[in-house]
Amino acid sequence: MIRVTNVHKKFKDLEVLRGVDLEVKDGEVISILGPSGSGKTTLLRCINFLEKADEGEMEIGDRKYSLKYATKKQKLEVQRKTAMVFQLNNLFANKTVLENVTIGLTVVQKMNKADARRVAVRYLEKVGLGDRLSSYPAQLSGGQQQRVGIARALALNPSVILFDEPTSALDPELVGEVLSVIRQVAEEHITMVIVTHEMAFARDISDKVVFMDGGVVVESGTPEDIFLNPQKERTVQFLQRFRQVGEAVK
Amino acid sequence: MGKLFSVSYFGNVIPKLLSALPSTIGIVLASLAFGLVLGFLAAALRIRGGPVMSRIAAFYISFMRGVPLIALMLLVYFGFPQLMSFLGFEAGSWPKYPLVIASFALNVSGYLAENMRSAYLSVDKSQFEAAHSIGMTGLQGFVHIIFPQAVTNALPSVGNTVIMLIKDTALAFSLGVVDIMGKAVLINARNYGARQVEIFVAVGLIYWAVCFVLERILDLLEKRGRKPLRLG
Amino acid sequence: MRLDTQFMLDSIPIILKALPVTAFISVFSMLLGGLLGLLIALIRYYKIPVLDRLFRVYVSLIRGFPLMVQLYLAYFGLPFYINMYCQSVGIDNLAKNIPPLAFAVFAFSVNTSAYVSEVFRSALDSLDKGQREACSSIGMTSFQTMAHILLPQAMVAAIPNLVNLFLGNIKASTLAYMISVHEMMGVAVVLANRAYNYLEIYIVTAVIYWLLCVLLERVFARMEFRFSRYKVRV
Repeated sequence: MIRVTNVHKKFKDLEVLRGVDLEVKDGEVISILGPSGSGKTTLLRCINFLEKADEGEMEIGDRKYSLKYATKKQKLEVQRKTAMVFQLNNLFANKTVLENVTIGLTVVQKMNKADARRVAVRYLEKVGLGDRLSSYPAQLSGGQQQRVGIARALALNPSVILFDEPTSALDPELVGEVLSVIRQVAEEHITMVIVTHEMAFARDISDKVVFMDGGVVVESGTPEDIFLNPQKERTVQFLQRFRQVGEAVK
Repeated sequence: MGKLFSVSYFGNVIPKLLSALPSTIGIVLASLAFGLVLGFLAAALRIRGGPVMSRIAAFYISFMRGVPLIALMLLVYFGFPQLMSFLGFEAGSWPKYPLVIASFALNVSGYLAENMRSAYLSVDKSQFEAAHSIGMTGLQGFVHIIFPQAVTNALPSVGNTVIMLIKDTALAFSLGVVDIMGKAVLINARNYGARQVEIFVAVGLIYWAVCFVLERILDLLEKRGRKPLRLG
Repeated sequence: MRLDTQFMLDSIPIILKALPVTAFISVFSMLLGGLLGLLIALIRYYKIPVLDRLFRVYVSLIRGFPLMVQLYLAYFGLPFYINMYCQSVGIDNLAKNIPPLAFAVFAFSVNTSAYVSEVFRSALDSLDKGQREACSSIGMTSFQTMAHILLPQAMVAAIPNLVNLFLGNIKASTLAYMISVHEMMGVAVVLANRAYNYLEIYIVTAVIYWLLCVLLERVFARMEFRFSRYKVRV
């Protein structure tokens, strides 16, 4: 279980998060939707301390953390319990595909090499890249790179996987393969928080949808609640833009 | 026993050293002027010369960059008069400054040639095509479009080369030139070796200050040069 | 053209006999300076308080002072302070026992360290920021991040510049003859002064150094090619 409360974050004079609360139960898949600049990515990055929030508290399981005053040790603790899939994959350029997945296991989790390799191979096969173990990221397509990133996150067996717009930087024809892998992961009831623009996808796989705009959570609920029965004006306006997508895929 | 560092002596020696600043600056400017001409020629021949000339230019550039400055200085300063004496001229007294400046100019021309060559090569090929497409001849295109851009591109590396040159001229004293370093060595000899640290720290700081000022000027020029290109 | 070519050829082995000294100065000062430079670069990369500022000044001064000045400061200044210290504790002047070679290597190492630190600093800065974030996201410590991911990638970017610095060190080693170190240039000067064969000797010397540089450039170029075949850069 992850819960963040009252998260505030300012970038210079721009207040990007104005008091956001979010709760994710174990095994839940949550999608965060919203226009650019709504703070969704920032929220995610505050959770794993890639950004330092100005205010806010976080609970993971039975541990409590202050988002602002967390010590280096606490931050490391949280980063070891979470994993992130980035928009620009951020695979380690000087490591092979296999090494990209094993390095977290051997260096951070202190697994021995043989076990780490077994785990890594299992997840890489799962995402469909079992045959590219000794390739380097530069030799893979964007979609393949992103799938390695997902395997890297999965292999760490984290309490939650954070997805930061995982398909936004991909060529359209590569989006599908990544989405289907994410769907697979969701079906196994791994706790996930996904920031995305893929409306139909979010609607299909999420247990809960959160709509953010202007640094606050405007509305949240089940996919049916949000997509079919939006309560707030802003939600309606946002969904208008994606109406076609919604109707076409229904 | 004495002070670790006599600030008063340090303060005294600075103006004495600065009196030789014109000499140093003169050497740098003269070396730079000739070096730019030679370097430009070498770069031009390297890029546009025929197979023979460009090979020779490449060798020239490689040689000037590969030979240690001191070795080149000694070669020019002692070797040139000897060469002249073979050809029948008097081996006697050749003026010091021109020989020293010549060796600095040769050395720096190698580095400048490379700076200019890579700056020229870094101008996008499409610029050439654009110039042709509006009917400019090769020369017009070069003068109006390519050269100005190459100059802007070259500024950082040429600036660094000039800074390198300034520090390199400190070697001139070894051939008896009385520039800043030469003056320092004279003062040091007159002092029988007392307070050496103060003297040479002062020398170093003067060079450092000159380089510092030049670096700031270069930064400003770079920023100015980039303004028109930024809106592209 | 009364160029004594036999003399030129004869002088080659004599000069080359001092090649080990030149090599020692260049390699040693590159290693020492390189390690120190890397350390300084890391300190500045992590912005360690006090030390960051201190080394910024250090790098600026070292890169601003001519190398000859640094050499003289080491050769004249260090013995002066060592002597002062010895006198104050009442022991014999230790500086007498230190060979000029040591002062030369010291000065060159310090000089190299400043330039190496800038090479590493810009290499580290040129790395994709996302690599560091990815390391954080899986819970790596700063040390692990640097050791496994950042430094290896920075090395690839730094190597061409480090090679240039090394070649520069070889050429700079010629200055050492001015503080009585018997490396190749020093031997050449002695030979040339013996019978006024300046042109012959200095041509030979210039060519020896030039060939040395060209040779090493080719060797390093081939090594870089082989090395980059294994690692594909993003």
